[in-house]
Amino acid sequence: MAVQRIKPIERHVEKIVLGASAAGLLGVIAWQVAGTRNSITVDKKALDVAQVYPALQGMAEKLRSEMTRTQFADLPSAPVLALQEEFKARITKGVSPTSQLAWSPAAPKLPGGVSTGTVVTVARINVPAVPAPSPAVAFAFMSTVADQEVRNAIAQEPDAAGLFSGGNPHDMPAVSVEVEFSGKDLRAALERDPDGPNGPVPAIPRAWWDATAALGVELVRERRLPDGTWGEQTAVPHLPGRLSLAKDLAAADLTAEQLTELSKLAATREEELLRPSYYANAVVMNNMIGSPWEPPRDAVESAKAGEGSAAERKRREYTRELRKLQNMEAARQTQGAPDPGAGGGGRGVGGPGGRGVGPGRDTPPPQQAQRSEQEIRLERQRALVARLKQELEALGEKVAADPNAGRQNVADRGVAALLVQEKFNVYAHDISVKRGETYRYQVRLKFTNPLYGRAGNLEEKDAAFAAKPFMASPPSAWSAPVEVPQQTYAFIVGGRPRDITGSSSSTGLGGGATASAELFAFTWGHWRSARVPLEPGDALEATVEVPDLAKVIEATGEQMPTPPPGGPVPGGPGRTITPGAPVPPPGGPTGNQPQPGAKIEIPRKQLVISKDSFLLDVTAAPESEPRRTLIQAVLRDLGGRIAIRQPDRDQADALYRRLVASARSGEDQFNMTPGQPGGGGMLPPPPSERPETEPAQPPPPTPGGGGGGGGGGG
Amino acid sequence: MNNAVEVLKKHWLPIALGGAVVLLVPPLFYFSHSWNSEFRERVQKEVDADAGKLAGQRITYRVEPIRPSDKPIEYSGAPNQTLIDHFKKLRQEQAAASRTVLDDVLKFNKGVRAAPTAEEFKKRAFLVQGVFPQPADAGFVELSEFPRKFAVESVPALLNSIRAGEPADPAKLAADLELKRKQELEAATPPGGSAEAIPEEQVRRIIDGMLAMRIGRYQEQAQRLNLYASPLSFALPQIDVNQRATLERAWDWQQMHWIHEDLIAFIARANGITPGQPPKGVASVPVKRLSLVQVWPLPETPAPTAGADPNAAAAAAPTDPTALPPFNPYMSVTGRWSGPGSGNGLYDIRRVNVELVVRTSDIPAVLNAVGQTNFMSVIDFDVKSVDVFKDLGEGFYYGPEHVSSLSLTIETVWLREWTKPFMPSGVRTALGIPPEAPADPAAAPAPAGNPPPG
Repeated sequence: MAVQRIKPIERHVEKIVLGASAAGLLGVIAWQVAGTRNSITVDKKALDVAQVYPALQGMAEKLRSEMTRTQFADLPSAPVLALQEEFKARITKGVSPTSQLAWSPAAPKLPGGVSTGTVVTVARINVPAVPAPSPAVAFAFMSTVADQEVRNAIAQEPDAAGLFSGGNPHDMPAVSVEVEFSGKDLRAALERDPDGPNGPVPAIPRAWWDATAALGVELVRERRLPDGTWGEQTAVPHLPGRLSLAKDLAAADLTAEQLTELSKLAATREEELLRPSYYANAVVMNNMIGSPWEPPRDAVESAKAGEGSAAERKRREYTRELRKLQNMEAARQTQGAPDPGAGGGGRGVGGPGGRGVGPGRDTPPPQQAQRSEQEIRLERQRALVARLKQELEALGEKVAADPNAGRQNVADRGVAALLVQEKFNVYAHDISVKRGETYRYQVRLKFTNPLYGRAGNLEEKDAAFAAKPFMASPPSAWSAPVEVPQQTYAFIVGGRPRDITGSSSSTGLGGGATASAELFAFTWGHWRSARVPLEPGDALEATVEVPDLAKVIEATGEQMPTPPPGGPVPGGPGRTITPGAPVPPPGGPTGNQPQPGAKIEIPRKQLVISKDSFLLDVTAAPESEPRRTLIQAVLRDLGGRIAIRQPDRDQADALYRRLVASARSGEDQFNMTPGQPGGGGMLPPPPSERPETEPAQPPPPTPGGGGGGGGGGG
Repeated sequence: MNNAVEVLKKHWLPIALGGAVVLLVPPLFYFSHSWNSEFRERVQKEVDADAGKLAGQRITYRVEPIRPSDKPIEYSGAPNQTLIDHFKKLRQEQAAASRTVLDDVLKFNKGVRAAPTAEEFKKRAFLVQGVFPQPADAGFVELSEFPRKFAVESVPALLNSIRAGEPADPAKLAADLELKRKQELEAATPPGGSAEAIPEEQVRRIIDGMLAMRIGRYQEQAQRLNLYASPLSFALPQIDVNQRATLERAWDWQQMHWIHEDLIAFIARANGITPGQPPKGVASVPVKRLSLVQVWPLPETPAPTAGADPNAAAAAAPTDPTALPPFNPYMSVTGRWSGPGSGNGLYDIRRVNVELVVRTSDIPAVLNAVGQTNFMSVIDFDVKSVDVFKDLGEGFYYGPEHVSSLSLTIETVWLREWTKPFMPSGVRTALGIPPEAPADPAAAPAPAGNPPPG
């Protein structure tokens, strides 16, 4: 028999199975020992199953101990509430922090001097100390006033007719006076609490003064007397034809309510009251006759500096208008919402009868209508300032931005515009001056009196203060003396002394002494000059040809001047004008109306200029030097006074130079190329053909109040 | 192949067993794991349930604050008798404190009508006894008496209580002045002459004398009074005193009378008037004159229809007396409002317009006196100037100090805690007050109209 071989697998299969089983068993044991054990989560902790029920038992024990606990260390207690005291305090406290007002007005006194019993002390208020304006600056000048202005002024105030000449030309002397005033200083005076907040004397209640307005300007002048002293102190009346509240303020029975209405009117027309425009110059054939009016400060500066450069003049004008704009914007910002109107009511919900609802609002209250006009003025002033700034920059000047533009002080809300202005200008005019006289001026300002009718709140010594509706500032310091331009001026511009050697072939009593004089007289907006040769014994008299513009006006009709800012439209309210448009004279056009484009001759007339003096002699001046002979002319006037004039000095005189400049511009005025605007000899085209160079609305206010003369100085 | 089969046949048992051992391991593993998971979940559930029960034994003890702005008192812990007792005590203390303040509040709101006993309170509070909330029988007598009591008698009695009155009798004064004028003229007329012959200066003196006499009379009358006031100053509704009032109308008038009382009380407080003391004189008190009192009307109450069930559904939405009162700034500057639709179950509001002439410097004190007298709030006021000369011409002398006319709108609050028991059913219906739950038959019935102690 063959030996059967046993395969290895057969030989070892049981071992394999046994080994595998043993491995499996070991694996299971290992898994049991080292693998994940069963865990149960108790109170967020994972515990072995064997530990679970002990854990639960622990929890139960803990709960039982908490349930049977009798001692607690952290038991909350009720807050201590003194409810009764709190309630009693609330019901006794009251709604007002004090039981009495800090002050109260005084009761009116009973008639007949009846005793009213014990008077409870009322608050005594101190009279405010109004600050004084700055020292006055005066400037005298000549101007040719528009006929319409004169007629308008006389129509409003017939008594003033004597101040004007009968007809064209209205060559008038005048003095304008300027001061500056600080509205903020006035406000400080009104707000002042003299003894502090804790003292018995209170400050004036704000509601009494926050609507303070300027009510007018008082101008006082003195004349230099022949002995050199000052005298004849005179209160100068206001400029005829311009707004004045003097009569209203002088009314004996003016009530507090009426004063309030006057103040409101004054506030809206502050420009007219504080800076009344001087009369507009006459306008002929689109030409303004003479130089425009300048504020006195600027005019004095111009006169000193020989008018200065164009940039300096422009900067002065820009500064002036910018300040005006800032004041107007401050005024606008301080004015709050319009009043809701008179009458109570409109409160609560429903209710029976009496309390009712508020007043009807179909028409806006007057304050809103006036504010619209102020908005228009503000826009015009902004446009003017912007234009001046551009012109100034075009002249190469730098203009700094205003850092305070647009800012508003919260404390200024509800306060009158006047009281927030750092500084504002005030003008006044005097047309009652006489040629050749010397005057000086001082200014007082009048403001609404917050204590009017409140004498009961003043000390006895101050009671009179409450009787006037206005409070006046102290007067400004006197201005420097100003001489009103004389009727005529005479200057010696050349001369030759008598030839003592007799070698000259000259004849005459003076042995050949001669002089040359230049005489000046003012007419139609300019000084006119004429030179005259003189020999000893000759009177200082000359004749000069001047344009007879009165005839031109008769032929072409009067042209209306540009309405001055804040001033009335010449010719009366309600009349609209287009600047430069010819207006037929009253009663209709007279004479021949020349056709547009026609050439006309400006008629001329003779003007005799006489100085009421005559030449006595021409000699060498004592200060002559051998190589330089100075000539002097000896003159004698009708009063027998001797005057010695030297040509060198006369020609160097600033007055002479100004007069000469004025005369030259007067000669040039109507000698321009025909066809140019304002060209002499050519009529302007009718309005319909005129290019649109000006707005339909009246133009922005011109600097300082519109037309006015220039030319003459003191 | 045949060998394998042969081997298999020969050794089928160990092979089968070995194979079974190998093959059974995965399934066994699977089943074992499943059973284990199932067991674990079951135990976890049981443990969670038990642990939850234990943890759920914690409760939060809480006492609500008295003032809504305060925080509640809270404590979280296991049920514990000590804690229960502690918080019970806290609640009782708080309730006692609330009760004390509530008593003060109710007493304040009852104002001059407050009294230590209910009977006394009813006597002081009501114009006619036995009317509210429902008179016995039909109340014919009481309701017939009410119009006269209110329209004719109530206001003069109030004014008399503080020595308020009118200026000197103008007719008598005129007669006295005329007599004096004649006497003075006769004395000044020269013998045999006429009155025209009297010098102007003497005439002026006579006029001044008469003026002084007239003003003097006004001042004397003012000295006898604490306040200028007249029943005509009170704008009462049109009332026919001969016609019996309805219960609802009577309630309106009763409330108006309470408001009148409180206004007089605040004026007395402002003027420092003590009952029984001599008058201080109008010239020396802050409130000089009461010109107008006008109470705003109640919202219209629906007229009761015949046979209607008074316990039927309320005309207004029912109000919850425990809820905080509503706040609506559109109804009033105080935010308070009441009446149908407000949901206010705590109090009722009524407004009144008052015009006074007061010493200007004392306006703050007058305004303070309003809120110090009752739950009254000034929700609007105007100050105007007074033409003292015109008023003097009518006999009103206000004294030496500056005076102003003060127009007030006052909001008065009436707590239902003490007013509700007296409200007629029609008024309750209109205000949305649910009818009271029927009393427990076993309990002793409360007598009709028996309010809580005043």
